[in-house]
Amino acid sequence: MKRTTTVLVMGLFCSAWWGAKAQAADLLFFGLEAPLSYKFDQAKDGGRFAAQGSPAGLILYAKAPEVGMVMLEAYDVALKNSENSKFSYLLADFLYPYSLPFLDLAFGVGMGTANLKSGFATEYQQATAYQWIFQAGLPITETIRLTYSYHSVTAQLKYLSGNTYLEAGGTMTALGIGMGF
Amino acid sequence: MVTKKIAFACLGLVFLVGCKEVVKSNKDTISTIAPPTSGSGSVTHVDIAGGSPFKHTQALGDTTADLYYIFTNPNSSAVSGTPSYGQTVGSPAPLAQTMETPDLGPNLEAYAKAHQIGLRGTSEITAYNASPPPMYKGTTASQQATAPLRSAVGDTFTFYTESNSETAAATLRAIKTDGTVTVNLWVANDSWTGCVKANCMTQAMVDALGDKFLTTGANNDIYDWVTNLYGEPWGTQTYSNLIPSTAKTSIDILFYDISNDNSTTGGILGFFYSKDNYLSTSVSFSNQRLLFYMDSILTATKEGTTWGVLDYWPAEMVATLAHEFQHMIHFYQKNVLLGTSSTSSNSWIHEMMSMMTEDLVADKILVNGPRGVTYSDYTAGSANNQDGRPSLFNTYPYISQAYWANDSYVLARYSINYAFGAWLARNFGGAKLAHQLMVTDGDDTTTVVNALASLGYTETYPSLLKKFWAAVLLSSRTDNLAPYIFNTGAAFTSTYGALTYSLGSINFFNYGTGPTIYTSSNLGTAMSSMPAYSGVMMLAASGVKGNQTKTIDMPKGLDLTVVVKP
Repeated sequence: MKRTTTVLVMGLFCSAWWGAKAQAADLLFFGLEAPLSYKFDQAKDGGRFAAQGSPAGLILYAKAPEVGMVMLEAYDVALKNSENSKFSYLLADFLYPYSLPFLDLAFGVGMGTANLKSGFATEYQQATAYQWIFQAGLPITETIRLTYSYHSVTAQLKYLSGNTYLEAGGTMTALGIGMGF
Repeated sequence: MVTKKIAFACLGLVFLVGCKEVVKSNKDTISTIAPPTSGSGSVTHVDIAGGSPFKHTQALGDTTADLYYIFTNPNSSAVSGTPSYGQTVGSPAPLAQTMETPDLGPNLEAYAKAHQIGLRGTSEITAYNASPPPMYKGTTASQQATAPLRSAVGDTFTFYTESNSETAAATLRAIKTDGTVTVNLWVANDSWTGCVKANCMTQAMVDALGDKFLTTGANNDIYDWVTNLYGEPWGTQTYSNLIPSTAKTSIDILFYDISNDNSTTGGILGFFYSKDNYLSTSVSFSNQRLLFYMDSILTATKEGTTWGVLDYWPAEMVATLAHEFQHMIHFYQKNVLLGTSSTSSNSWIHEMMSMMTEDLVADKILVNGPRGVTYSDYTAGSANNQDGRPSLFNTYPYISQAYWANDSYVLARYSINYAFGAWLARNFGGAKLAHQLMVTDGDDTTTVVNALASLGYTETYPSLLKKFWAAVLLSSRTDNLAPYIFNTGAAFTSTYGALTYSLGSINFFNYGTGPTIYTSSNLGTAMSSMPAYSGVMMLAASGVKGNQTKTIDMPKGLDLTVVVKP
């Protein structure tokens, strides 16, 4: 009995997703995500920065049918063992969406800036940040999507008094929600 | 159609990932925010604030050497966290010891007796002397009525010792004078010849100790050698509740069984208690005189079949006279004349100056002193030395230097303050510095800096701490330059007034297994913070040459000194 109920419920959900997908393709979606984690890339010196907790900031996105998805990101990543030091990222992205029957997908690229906020900030030049992005959206209802995005960031800040660069690139993950209108 | 789109997306991803790797591969990227630092030579004081990891490159040249990092906390409060450095791949595993907590047990005196250690003063008396009762300006009738003490051998007097309820009935057994000052040597009646204690005082003992302290002639006794450095123990003063200025001509020494412990293996050797410098109307258990207390049992403890003043414990008592005499002079010169106010936590400077005194007069009183090397041997002695204060310093070099508390670290506090004072004396003028420390108002870190400034040395306390620990690490070498000298292989001589003083060399690596030196891996597990005014020595690499670069992560507030030791 219990198994039958579970199968029935799952079947209803799948039907809802399928139906939602068909109708959602024509909707304008807005959403926001909160950064979950940031893992820095390894630098040439063999070390890597460590983030202190989750990044602080927000990601906003809008997806229009037949046009694509734009995304705006602004977040800070505090550094472990570096008192009051953080990297600050500001990026604008364009993603190409693609919908599967039970999942919305999007791939894209972004560009922006990466800054150091620290007592040593004046020692480093602002860097241009690039990234590629992947987003997956799980339909909850016809108009609501739970989204997860993965960002691979490239950013190196030049040390003004030398030829070295701070390795500020890494991978960022975010979780959020989108709503269709 | 779907397959094509997915394939296109995958190709795009591969392209983007590839681009990222191309961009990265062109740049020399690092993972530390603080700008890199560099240095060369045997000692580099790195000018960088902590709080962010940074790269440091030390140029060692072509000579193989050991690379050390010294982290010092120059602040008056502890700094959370411990410093660390990234290991160089392939470097030999550095040697290290584990950090231990001193286990002196609940009773310091019991520990001292069990380990043949002589203590000078007690925790209560040390605190009392550092923060004595208030003094009131003016003169009183009772003060004027207290005439200089004139006594005759055979006189008796009952002394208050450590409290209102503790007394010692004593008899004056000898009077020594140099024509200006008189010393009265009293012995408790229960400690005199024929007593039931473990050892009893005799006339020969009283005379021998008395002659060491004061005898006829100039510049030939503890009184002369120490007053030449610091000035008189008493004299003109303007306070109504202190003993009168005329008391300066007489000093009393009371031998009794301190703590009534009947110990022949250690314990409290003696003390100066400033309560006796007050009138009894102000401090009820004052004996109203310049007075030392000495332990009669240990004074009478012989080493062989016959007693000699240079036997171990009698010699320790002679050194105690010099040690306590500094305390007596300190009270008058600082508290009374300069009006210095202090706290018990500043007792470190009192004790440092007393041990500096022992060090300066060791070869004059013919006692080995806190250096733990034969007084006539000015070299650093030989390996595996277990004597003197440096041994315990080596075990606990990481405790606060400019801080005092009568806790389980108290013996280690004596040791680190001896080491610091010994370094100051060997690099900044010896006897002249000792004098300046006494005549400079204050009993804290600023006093040391000001005393050095009066001799022409421009130092700050943080700079002193950095140089001190560097000198410790370099003490196994005899070719160091000031201010990194502990060891020249010969004597350090200095002159103040009419007298020349000699200090012996010190090599900390001769004591036990040498100073405790940590590595990045074991320091973090040994301690979670750096105490105020402390330092730790870390071996970063041994037997290396060329440029040595490491990532150093030290908490904000610490200083870094790099030492290269061939």
